[in-house]
Amino acid sequence: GRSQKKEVAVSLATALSNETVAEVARNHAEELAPHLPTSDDPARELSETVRTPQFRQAADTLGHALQTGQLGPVVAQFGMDEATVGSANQGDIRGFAANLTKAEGGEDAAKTQ
Amino acid sequence: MTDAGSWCLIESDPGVFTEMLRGFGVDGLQVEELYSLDDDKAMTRPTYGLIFLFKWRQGDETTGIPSDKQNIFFAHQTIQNACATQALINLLMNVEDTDVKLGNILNQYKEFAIDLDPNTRGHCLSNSEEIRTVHNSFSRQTLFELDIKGGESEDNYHFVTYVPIGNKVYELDGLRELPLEVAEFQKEQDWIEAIKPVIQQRMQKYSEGEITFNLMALVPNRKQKLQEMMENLIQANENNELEEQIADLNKAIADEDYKMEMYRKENNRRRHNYTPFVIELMKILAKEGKLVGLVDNAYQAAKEKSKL
Repeated sequence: GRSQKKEVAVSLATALSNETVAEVARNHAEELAPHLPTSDDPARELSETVRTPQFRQAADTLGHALQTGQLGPVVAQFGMDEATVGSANQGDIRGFAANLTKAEGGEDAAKTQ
Repeated sequence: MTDAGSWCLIESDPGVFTEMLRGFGVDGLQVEELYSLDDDKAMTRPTYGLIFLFKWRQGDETTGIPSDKQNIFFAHQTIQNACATQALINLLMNVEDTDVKLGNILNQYKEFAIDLDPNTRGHCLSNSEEIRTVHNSFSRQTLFELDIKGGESEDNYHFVTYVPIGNKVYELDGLRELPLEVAEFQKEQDWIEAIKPVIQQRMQKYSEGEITFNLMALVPNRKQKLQEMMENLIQANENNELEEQIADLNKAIADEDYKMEMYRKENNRRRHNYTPFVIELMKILAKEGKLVGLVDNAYQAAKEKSKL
């Protein structure tokens, strides 16, 4: 069920709209390109994306949906595991990040950050 | 997904309006943002109308005189989400200039609605599938089929347009019964000069009440005008003494092209569903062990903010 603790509202746009993420995005152009709006210059579109108001708005809306327990069904459709979906259903964004990291095998990499 | 008949919420900036004109098939016009009423760079003449956008509140008084003159095309606003489009069309219906072509969709609407009363005109507009389709092509992104409740309340924005007809200036407000006569001007006078005090007063009132507002102008297609000027200059440039002016025009045309390209890019992004991108990005960040740190930073930032 939902956590009763009053958590602050995290802005997913704040988490994702920065140079760190922009660089990761550039390094993964092949995986991300299919999900971009069509453009004449996909490389440029990708490098501009995380700074655009449209991306930020989407991130914040999804972040809000996640923290209000509405995103469970959506992330389930994207093939995330039970623990990760569970965090989403509980509105737990930090739990979501931790579980997704575990599922994607990023725990060791996380230790070196 | 929308039902047949429903109008989506759209952004309402010069980029959307200018592209919307294109979507309707209008030729010879564009919409420019005004940073002040003295912004003559933006208000290329002839300026066909002004669009005033503000957060609506009840009991907003006006100083105009209601007019039911038959030479004014005026339609009531019948659907909240259509307010921007409705205001723009109200304005367009009163533009008469050989350099301006309204295109099939709007000409058909005008022909159909011209003999009807304002309320019926409004309903005709909101029932027009073609107009609604163009409007909805600018809808804000929907994130999957879920009706995800956003965090902020939707602000109630309202649009009012100012248009010169004959030697008078009218305020067209789709939520009022009739057009309002707000200024008069002499034939040789620039109607903008006549309407400035009226709008300035309104801007002042809103500034004092801390109500956000925005002003835009409906102007001739700038690139077309620049290209006409270019042709004239080239023809007159017998001894190459006009090279500098021609270079300036080239730059101005390039600026317009760039601006239109930015509008297209923005609208393209507005229509795009970023959900798959965000999810895929988070998976990649998770795999690289960066996601937890980033979310944590944002959490700390939110915590700090909440203490203020």
